[in-house]
Amino acid sequence: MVWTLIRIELNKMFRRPRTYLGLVGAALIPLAVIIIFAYKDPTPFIARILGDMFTLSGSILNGYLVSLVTINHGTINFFLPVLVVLVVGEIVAGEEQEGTLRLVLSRPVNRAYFLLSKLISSLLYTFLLVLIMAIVGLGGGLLVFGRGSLFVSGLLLGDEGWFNILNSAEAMKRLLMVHGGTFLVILTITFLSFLLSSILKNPIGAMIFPLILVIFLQIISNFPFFSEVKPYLFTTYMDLWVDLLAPEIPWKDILNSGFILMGHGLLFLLGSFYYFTRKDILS
Amino acid sequence: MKIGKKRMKKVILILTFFLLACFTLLAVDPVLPLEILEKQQEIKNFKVDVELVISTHAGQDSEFFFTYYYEEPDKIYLETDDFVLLPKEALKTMQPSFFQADKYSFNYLGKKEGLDILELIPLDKGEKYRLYLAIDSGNSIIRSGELFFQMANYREEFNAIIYFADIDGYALPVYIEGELAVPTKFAIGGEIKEYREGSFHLKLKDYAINIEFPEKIKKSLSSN
Repeated sequence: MVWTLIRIELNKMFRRPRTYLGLVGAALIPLAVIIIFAYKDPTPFIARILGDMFTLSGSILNGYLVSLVTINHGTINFFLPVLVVLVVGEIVAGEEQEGTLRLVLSRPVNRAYFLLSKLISSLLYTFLLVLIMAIVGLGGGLLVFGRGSLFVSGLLLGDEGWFNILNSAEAMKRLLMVHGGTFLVILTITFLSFLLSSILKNPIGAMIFPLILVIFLQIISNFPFFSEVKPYLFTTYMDLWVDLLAPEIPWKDILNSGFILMGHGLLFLLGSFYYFTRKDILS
Repeated sequence: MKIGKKRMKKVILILTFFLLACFTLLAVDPVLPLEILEKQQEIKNFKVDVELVISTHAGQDSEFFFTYYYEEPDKIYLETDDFVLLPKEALKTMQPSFFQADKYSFNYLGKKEGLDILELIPLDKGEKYRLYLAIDSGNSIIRSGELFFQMANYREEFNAIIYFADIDGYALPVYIEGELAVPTKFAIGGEIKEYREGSFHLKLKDYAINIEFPEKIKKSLSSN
């Protein structure tokens, strides 16, 4: 029964243009980076920033750099969440608004199974977003610019001058880990949006509210006088992927961040199932 | 008896003068083997293949492979398929002008294992390094060197050991290993905000000295 529900859900999801809009959107950022880098090598920019103390010869431009620049704070904290909520925010609330939810649940379908099938579709969509970003960014980047050492700098990630150099093999390993970390971070947004979609009748609210919350918490986090609150905000841990590029990976911190994000995700999930299985569907 | 005492005094006096003369002769500075350093200045240009490995901690090495082109007085170009990031000061140590005798005051520290040990202290007080060279005066060649240096904004002194080889009659470095502080955080403008102590190994091979560089390389050479 669950498999049938999952198949139906996937069928529904992939018939909606917005799903493809999201997936194309995931490819847009790495494509834009490839086009910009093809037009302009970032090496002189970095050399200028490094100042008079260092000499930077050759070119830092390669496929790994494309992938690194693609995954930056803006992409993970704002752009990917937008693509996630576009589909996940609508997945339950959309059906309620259209009136099909009442129709479906009037048949002998287990509500938990029904929601589970929607959750699996949401997870698959989230995974596809990150996968497309990896294939276009890393694969496309390597195809166009080739391999090389990876110049990791916070200046490229929108952070203060964080710095490391990774050899080709190590760069590939770390970037795959970074994509894994990105998936974990984005899952939290998926679960939040899924919770709201299960609660709200209007999909717009389930789409907008997670974005507003993430942006609001990010702003709050940036105020120095709110630093005491920062450890309690899940957005604080959304940067865990950055540490995967450090000279020495701080596994303890990463695991800690990962557990906190997963803890939040689990809470959102439990909330979704708790509310949905008890919900009165009147319209 | 009186004559005997007078003779004895003369003998003692002569002996004293002789001993003093001997000590004075021994105290004269030895001839410093500076011509060996000066010979380096005959190098008009050279190219060498370099393999540099920087280790900040176990399991992660940064490797750079490049060809270093030098043309007097201070023009350099690094050719690589990848990229190379080096402190500008480090590049200067690979130039023959680094050994220019008029840049240093010298202290002769005696012989060790048959080699003359020479301490080179830069006359420019702004330079934060000192160099010890082990010179094989018999064969007119530098055998090894030890460089003690400080990095910008970093208190601790590091050292590097340089091994030289006779290449076309010139003493040129073929292997360098040492410690250094690897920057891990930069501010805009290149100011280093955080370091991590690490080590480096530098292998230099396939020297070509005083040759005609291709036009492309000539154009790329720029003053350091």
